[in-house]
Amino acid sequence: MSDPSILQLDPVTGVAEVALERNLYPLDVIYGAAYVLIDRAYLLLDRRPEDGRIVVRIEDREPGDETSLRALVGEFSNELLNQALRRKITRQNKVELEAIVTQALAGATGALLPGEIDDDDLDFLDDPLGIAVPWEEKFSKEARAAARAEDEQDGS
Amino acid sequence: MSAPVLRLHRKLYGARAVGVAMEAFSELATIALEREEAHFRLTFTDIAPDFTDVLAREFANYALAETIESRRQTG
Repeated sequence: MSDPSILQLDPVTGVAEVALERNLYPLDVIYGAAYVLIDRAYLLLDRRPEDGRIVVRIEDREPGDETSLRALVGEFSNELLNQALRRKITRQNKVELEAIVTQALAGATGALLPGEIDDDDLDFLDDPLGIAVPWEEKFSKEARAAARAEDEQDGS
Repeated sequence: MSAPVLRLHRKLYGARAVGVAMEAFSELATIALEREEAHFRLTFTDIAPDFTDVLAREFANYALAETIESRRQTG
């Protein structure tokens, strides 16, 4: 197991290098942590070809002493954990979040959700508009003759 | 003094982000881009006097921020 391991820490130049395991820290997590520090430090990401670890070079914009540089590296490490936890929670709650958003959108558009349909009055055999009657049946010679006879009867 | 060189890993920095950064910094330096096997290699010449010390590092931050933001937008 490895925490972020410090490869280099030079208070004179204000530069620290940290190596991160890809299995422990996915790229999104590393990006998220780097983004938080980007206004206070110069950051450079690279990948070590020998073991695939991501090396993050953190350079203090205003170099101070070793304590301040260590604090910067510590803050970066904390932010890695923070981002990792946030990512985990987001993944865990993905289904619930999607359900909430779906309900909210459905409510906003006035659509009914499947559970809200009152189907007591519905009968699948009801066909008031006659759309289930085949065209051939509806407009056959017999049907038209019957309709004409009905019209004539009404007229007389 | 030799021209500053910056190497950005192609798996970690988006090509579009590097392009956007080159455009943003084009008035401060002449920037040459070469594609190495694993890196974008950027060479900075004719750097504006006030930015000589920090240009490459600022460029790297800009390209990183651009990479992260475009990644977030695309999900």
